[in-house]
Amino acid sequence: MSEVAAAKAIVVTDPSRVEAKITSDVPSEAKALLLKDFTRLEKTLIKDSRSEATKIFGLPSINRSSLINWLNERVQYIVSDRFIDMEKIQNGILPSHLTVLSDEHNFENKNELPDVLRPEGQARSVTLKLAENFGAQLYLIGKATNSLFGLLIPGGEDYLSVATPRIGLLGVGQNLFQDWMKENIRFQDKSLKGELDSLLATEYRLGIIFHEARHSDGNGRSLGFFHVKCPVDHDYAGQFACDSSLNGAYSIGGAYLKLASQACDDCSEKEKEVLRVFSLDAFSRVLLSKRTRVSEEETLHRCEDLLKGNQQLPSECFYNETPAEFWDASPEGVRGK
Amino acid sequence: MKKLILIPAALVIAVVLFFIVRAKHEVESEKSVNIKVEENIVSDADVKKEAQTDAVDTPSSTIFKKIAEQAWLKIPKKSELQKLSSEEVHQAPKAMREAALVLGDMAQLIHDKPEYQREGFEFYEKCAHESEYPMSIRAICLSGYRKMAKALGSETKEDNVPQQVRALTNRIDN
Repeated sequence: MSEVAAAKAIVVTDPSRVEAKITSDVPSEAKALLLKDFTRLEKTLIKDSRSEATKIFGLPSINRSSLINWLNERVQYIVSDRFIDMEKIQNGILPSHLTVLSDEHNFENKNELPDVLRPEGQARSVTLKLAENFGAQLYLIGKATNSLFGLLIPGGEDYLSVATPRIGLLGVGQNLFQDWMKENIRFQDKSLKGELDSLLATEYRLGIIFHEARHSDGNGRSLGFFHVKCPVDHDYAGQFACDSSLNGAYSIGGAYLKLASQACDDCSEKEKEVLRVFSLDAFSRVLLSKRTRVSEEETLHRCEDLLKGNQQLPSECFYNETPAEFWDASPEGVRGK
Repeated sequence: MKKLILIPAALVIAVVLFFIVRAKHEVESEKSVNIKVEENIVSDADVKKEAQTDAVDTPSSTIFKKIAEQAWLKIPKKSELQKLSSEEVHQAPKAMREAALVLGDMAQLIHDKPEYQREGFEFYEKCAHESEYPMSIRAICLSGYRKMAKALGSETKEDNVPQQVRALTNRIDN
């Protein structure tokens, strides 16, 4: 029935419009909202020449076209989050629309996996509920089990080969749309904001789409830019809700929301402030340094004098701190092609 | 023959019952939404109404107090965030979003009524120094604190604000 379509190695996109295909399994109300969100992005005059955002996105300059192009390269399809049950796939149970095309595929950086799958990474869950990047997760599972997956997209006729995280498959959940509807009932006060009612919801969703898009990137240890556990003293301590790179998904989401708040000419002060809080929440999850515990012997060596004085030991006695870095975001499977 | 009549009749009854149950459910849902709206002590309409008032009755008027009280109530503590599920914290959780909305009310009010800058200064100072608050909240408060200080020609005291929070504020303001 189906043939295998090659993953798009080089995506040539129209930078004036968001090209992601929203598949037929996404409810029509959600689809309408997403299209409205994309229209807003296409109309917002975003511009930034400062180094921070350009470094995070890896773009020479930030403007509406460059951002849309960036998104188009990383998000090809938006499906319902029910399309794939990642937990079942991790347990080897494949749905009918997913097949193994080859168990001899020559994956790039075959023996190099991100920390999220390494035993010491302690990670299990790389999933999320508002939205998730199925493409990156499928590619990672495929690579870890040496299986090249083929995926039949809703409404599609050919299996897509999951030979790169850049397959760009995002799953969106009902929460992404309903949450704001319920909570933001006060924004539906027509006497106050009229057509701007859902502006915050739109920018919030776009921030999440940009965040998810980053998971379509990376190679070797940076593959998928998966999240790491937040350290003990963090607001989200113990949760896989932090990034150890400076250009991971939280940096992308935070940078987008900051740009959106700056570029929003039709925003009230309130809306700008809310977007700034969202941006800060994302930025606060970017770990600026990585702590690794040293051996007891090393602790004794470092802080011998303090120990003799029976004083409270500072963290330098126990940990090495290495500053976080910008990771190489070039995606596996399409590089050099 | 009797059976043939009974089956469509039963179907009609089932359909009618379905619509009655659904209508009842919708009324109940509406009720819960209305209750939720009432729970929002400070509405956007309140903020707008206050912004349209020409005179400020007292140095610390009701609307500012209301928003500040709401903010102290809504801003989550770090310990509360740490109890949430991994799904809830993957993006700004509900508690953060609600706090953001109230802080947005605060920013809007002070923007519309600069007479509240002094109260804003005090509010933001206290908020930025609250060690139980998440970094992002402290950072937005520090940003407000600095803005108010600049507008009032005052100085900020930031010695007890952690470097991480100051760095975040610099990041959003620069």
